[in-house]
Parts: sequence; structure tokens; C-alpha cells
Amino acid sequence: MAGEGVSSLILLSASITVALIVGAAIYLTASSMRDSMQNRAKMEENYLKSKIEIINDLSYNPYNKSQNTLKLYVKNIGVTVLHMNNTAVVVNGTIYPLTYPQSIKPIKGDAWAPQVVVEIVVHLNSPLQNGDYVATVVADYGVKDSIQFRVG
Amino acid sequence: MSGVSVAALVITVSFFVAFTMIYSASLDEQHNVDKAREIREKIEEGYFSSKIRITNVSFDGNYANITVENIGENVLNPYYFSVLINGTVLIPEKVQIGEVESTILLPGENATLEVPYSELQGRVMIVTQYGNTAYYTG
Repeated sequence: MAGEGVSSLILLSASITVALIVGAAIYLTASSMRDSMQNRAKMEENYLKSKIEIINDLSYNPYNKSQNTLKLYVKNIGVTVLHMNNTAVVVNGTIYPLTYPQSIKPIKGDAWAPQVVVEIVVHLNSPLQNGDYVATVVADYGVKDSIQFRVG
Repeated sequence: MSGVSVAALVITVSFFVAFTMIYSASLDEQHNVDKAREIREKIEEGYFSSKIRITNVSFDGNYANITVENIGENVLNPYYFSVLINGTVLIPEKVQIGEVESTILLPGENATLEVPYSELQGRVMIVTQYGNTAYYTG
């Protein structure tokens, strides 16, 4: 009788232990899923609230042939503050990461807040040959805008 | 209560907690994304329902005085206007609506922007807070 009681107790303990392990695994998996869901939603939320626009006057070529530089003015027309060091320009298949304040700086103030225009000056790796080009500015959260320009 | 019953109870409770955790998180995040989507729609609508026209530009060698009319349906903030003269962004020193400095430019109203500029002519471009543009060559 006493042996049966001990074995029942061992069985009970084992069942509870296994259940607790399974329960903990379920809890951890759920936590991980919740965190992923929150991160994904935060990214989506920031993307929706952010927007940029290249506001160059297209009567003036943004490309300076003698200096081999591209100058772009980009306005933050969203409602989030964008991080200038997370911004890049893509020209002719080459990505140029930007650094504040060397290659990207606000026209006024020191942050790329909503409604603030930043001036971007990119020194290209090699001179652009005559032809049509597209420059794309990609900022935080994947927001981007493009401009077409002609060289020659 | 048998060990199996206790184990089943623990696992059921775990599933319930997990489900509640994920469900409440998904509701919260859906709410936040919906709010963000509304903001995005307001920005897009703002662009499509806003329009400006540059009605006059005068240069005196120190300043360019630019008069902008709100010909859209939205209330605009002229302090958020970006001014480009000959392709360069310049910052207005003064923004007036009528005789007063104001941040509210109602449809049909004119705003005057005083921009430091030393030339006597130039091409002017204005960009609103929604990204609408207007040009003037004088």
C-alpha cells in the first residue's frame, strides 16, 4: 500500500513537472510571437506615419559635373522625426550612406523633424556620363522618394 | 485529483494565457496601425485637397517678398512652406497674413513671405506642408 502511494506521488510530480515545462514553453512561444507582432506593427505604424519628398526645382540640375556632386533637398512631410544617419541615396545602382552633418544636414535646426528640409550633398564615386538618371533617397522605416535628372 | 488532471489543467491555463496575450497584443497593435493609417490618409488627402498659387513676387535687393494664395480647400500653415529661389532653399524671415503674423492660412487668403535674397530677379518655388508646389519666374 505504501509503495503504491509513493509511486502515485512520483507519477503526480512527474505529470505536474511535464505540464509546467509544456506550459512554460507555450508561454515563451506566445511571448515571442507577441514581441514579433508588436515589432512588426511598430514598423508598419512608423512607415505609415513617415513620408519624404524631394523638393528640388527641376529647372536646376541637381548634378554638378565639375564637382561630381549631387545636391538634393528633401522635406519631411510625415509626422515622425527621421534619423539622418539612417538615410541613403541610390544613384546609378550605387548606394551612398549619408552622415550627419557631412553629407546631410537640416536647413534649419539640428533634427529632421516634420516639415524640416534637409540638404543632401553626395560626392559620387565616379563622374556620371551623359544620359538620364534616377536618384532615390531612402530614409528611416523604408520611406523613399525619387527624382529624375539628365546629364549632358 | 489525478496527476493527469492537474497536468491537463496547467496546460489548458497556459494555452488560455498565451491566447489572451497574443489576442490582446494583436488588438492593441491593430488599433495603433489603424491610427497610423488614418494619419497617412490625412497626409494624402491634404496633398490632393491643397493648392497654392504665387500671385506676386517683388525683389528689392535685400529681400524677395512673395505673395502666396491658398486656392485649395485646406487650411495651410505658411511657416511650413519651403521656399526655393533659383533652386536654393531659403528660410523666410517673416510670414504675414494680412497685417499679422499667423500660422493659419485659410482658403482664399494670401500670405506674404519675406525671404532674404540679394538678387533682383529669380525663379521662385514654394512647397507646402503636404508637398504641393507652385512656381513663379520673375
